[in-house]
Amino acid sequence: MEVMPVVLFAAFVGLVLGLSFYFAGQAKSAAGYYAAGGTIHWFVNGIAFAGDYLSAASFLGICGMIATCGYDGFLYSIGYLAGWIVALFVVAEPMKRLGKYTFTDALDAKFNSKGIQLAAAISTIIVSLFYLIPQMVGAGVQVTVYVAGLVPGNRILRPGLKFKVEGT
Amino acid sequence: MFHKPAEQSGKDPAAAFKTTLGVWMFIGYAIVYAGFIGINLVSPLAMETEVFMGLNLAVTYGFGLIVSALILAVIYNQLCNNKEAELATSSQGKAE
Repeated sequence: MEVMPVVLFAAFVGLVLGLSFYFAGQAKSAAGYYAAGGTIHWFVNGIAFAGDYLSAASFLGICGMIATCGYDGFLYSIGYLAGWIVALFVVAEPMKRLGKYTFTDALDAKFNSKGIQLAAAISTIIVSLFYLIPQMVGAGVQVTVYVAGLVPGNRILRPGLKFKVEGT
Repeated sequence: MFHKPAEQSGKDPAAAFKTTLGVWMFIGYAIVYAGFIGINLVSPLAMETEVFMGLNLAVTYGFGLIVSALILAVIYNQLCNNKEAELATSSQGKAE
């Protein structure tokens, strides 16, 4: 059983959760929650955005897509760049001028419609769900490698092999 | 470090310029992006062509899109800052 990866993993998760709870407690308004009150330097904010993109989708998903699909998988890594360009050149300026922090708030400020609020909420949940599922699957596969040794007689999961638990 | 007082939000005289500039830069980038997609749709094998320092068109064009997006962002930021400074100076002059 590999103890060090489990310890490092638990320590990392604990650190991230601790930071999240600490800084979440400091946000007292929408401006504080979404934009840190506008006090963050653009360079630091940019690094945070870059961190968003350095996700399981990038490190696991794109690598896996290229490994399994070849060139077609490479096209995916170019694809989501287009969304960033739309956000920067088309969306950011009007949103800032409106003083809103989310697309839903901006639409609601313009049209004041319960229907739009509901549609935006439902679409946000659906998109988040589809994004979350592969993230959780990827995380689960990674954690399985660390904790497989905790159950007696376990075999570390490898593609193409059946997972068998003995002595339980 | 890297923290500063929040900018006071108010009327932005450069808003129209920034919006127009953003839209035109987006259209320009979209045309270049459409070229990448178009080549992949019409003639995907052309992407194998070696074009730059042993790299094929796919890698060169793809990474070129990424780098050009960063360069455009810097240019957009600088032009917007220049316009804001210019309009702030001219409005100060009018006030005096």
